[in-house]
Amino acid sequence: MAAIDDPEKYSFVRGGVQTNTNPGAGTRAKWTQVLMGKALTNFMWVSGIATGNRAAAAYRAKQRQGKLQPGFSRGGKPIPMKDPNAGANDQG
Amino acid sequence: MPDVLQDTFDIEINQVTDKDGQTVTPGDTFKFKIPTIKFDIEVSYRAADVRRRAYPDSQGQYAVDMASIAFSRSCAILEMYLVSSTVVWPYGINDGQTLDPSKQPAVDFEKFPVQYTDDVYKIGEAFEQAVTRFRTRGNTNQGSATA
Repeated sequence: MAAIDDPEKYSFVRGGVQTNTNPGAGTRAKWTQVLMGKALTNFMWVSGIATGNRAAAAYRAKQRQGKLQPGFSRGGKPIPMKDPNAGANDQG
Repeated sequence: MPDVLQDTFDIEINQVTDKDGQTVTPGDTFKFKIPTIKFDIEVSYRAADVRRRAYPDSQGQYAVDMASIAFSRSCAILEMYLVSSTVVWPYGINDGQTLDPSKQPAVDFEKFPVQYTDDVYKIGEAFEQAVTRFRTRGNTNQGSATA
């Protein structure tokens, strides 16, 4: 069966509505298009997009430095591994 | 040097300049679409619509004072050609009010705060001055690019 015959199985359309989109995001994006300069800066600050961008940039920076690996904390520090056999004999 | 492919232009009002004409404090910047050949007609009808909305009994006709004509024309220019600005009052947000990002931005002259009336006049005047340079063909003395 092709996706055109059963779009709800092969897409995020449910009842004719795209479910994986946020209409509010589109409205906020329109505000970023009609504002510029200090008004845009203020809007970005207020709406938290600038904060999100900073967090995303920090995430990518950590990713480039190889710190986002198993065994490292989100701060990039190695997590001390516990001995899986520690205390095993206490059970018995 | 201006971009020959530009489809918008900026105007600035309320900037503070010194005696040499140098900007001391930047003002408010408004970005407008460059009007098409229909500008004279469409802005005239939109201005009539502005007067009708402001005072329905007028049915959009001219009043006897120049202020209503100039003001309605400035409002029409803002409603039709404003692309973006460095201030939020053209979108109906008064001083001290918070922008609601869940609502679509819309330029409606009826929501302009009253303390920006003079700014509306200034924008209309600056727009008319700026747009004149797009209404006359430039002469490079080099003929057409395709000739």
